[in-house]
Amino acid sequence: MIKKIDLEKFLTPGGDYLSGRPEGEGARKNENLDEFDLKEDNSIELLISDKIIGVNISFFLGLLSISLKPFQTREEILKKVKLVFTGSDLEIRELVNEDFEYMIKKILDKRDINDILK
Amino acid sequence: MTSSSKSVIEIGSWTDIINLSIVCITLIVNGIKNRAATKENREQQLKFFKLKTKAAWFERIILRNLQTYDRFFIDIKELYLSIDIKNRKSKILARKNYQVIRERVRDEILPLKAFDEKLFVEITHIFEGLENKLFSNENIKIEELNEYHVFFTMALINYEKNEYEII
Repeated sequence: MIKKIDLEKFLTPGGDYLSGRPEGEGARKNENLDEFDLKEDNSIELLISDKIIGVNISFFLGLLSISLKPFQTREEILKKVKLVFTGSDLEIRELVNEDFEYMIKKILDKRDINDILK
Repeated sequence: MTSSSKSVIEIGSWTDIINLSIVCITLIVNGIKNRAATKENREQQLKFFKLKTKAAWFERIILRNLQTYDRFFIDIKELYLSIDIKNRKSKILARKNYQVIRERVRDEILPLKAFDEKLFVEITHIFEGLENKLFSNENIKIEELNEYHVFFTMALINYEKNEYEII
């Protein structure tokens, strides 16, 4: 089963940037992810509209760190959680993808010298 | 040999035995004491060695890189001055620039995770807080950003004080 989570609804009024661990945890609770994670095959799609210019790692970790804890590789993480861009702005795609990759690195923290140099 | 001289020798022998026993006991007790003292001394030396090694790593990972962290906070302030919070393009550009700055400092700070995870977490939380503030869309003052530099410096000073001043 795939759960689609529209992140735009967690923006503060007039905001364009998602931040804060408590806010991420609130979103997690709102989406019942603890229960959803009980089934191993379940996966998550995060819907990103053009309204979102960035996601702080604290929000991502509040929302996803429990779901992603069992995973040891980037591939496993990407199997569990995917970003789906609903808008057409390529800059937004690039920015939020970079934030997401930053979170993956933080979770794994196993980069070798090649990752650092690339 | 007369009976009186024999008893002197006997008394002399018993005195020797007692004296010898006292000497032996004293030697054993002193030996145990010395051994305990040596063990304590060795433990103390090991403690100092570990502390010295840790301090050397702290210097190598953090203190020699303070300029990099100072540069990070200066870059953030310059970024803050460049953002027009009413202009989407300006904010997008600022995000891009921020990601470059963030990546650079991350490479510097990552070895700290292996050195002391608690300090690493504390410092990364300060950086995350700074990022939140920077892109919060609030009308923030530059002094508020300076506070994060102060928090960072305080975290390092407190760490050093707790780890190396209590011996």
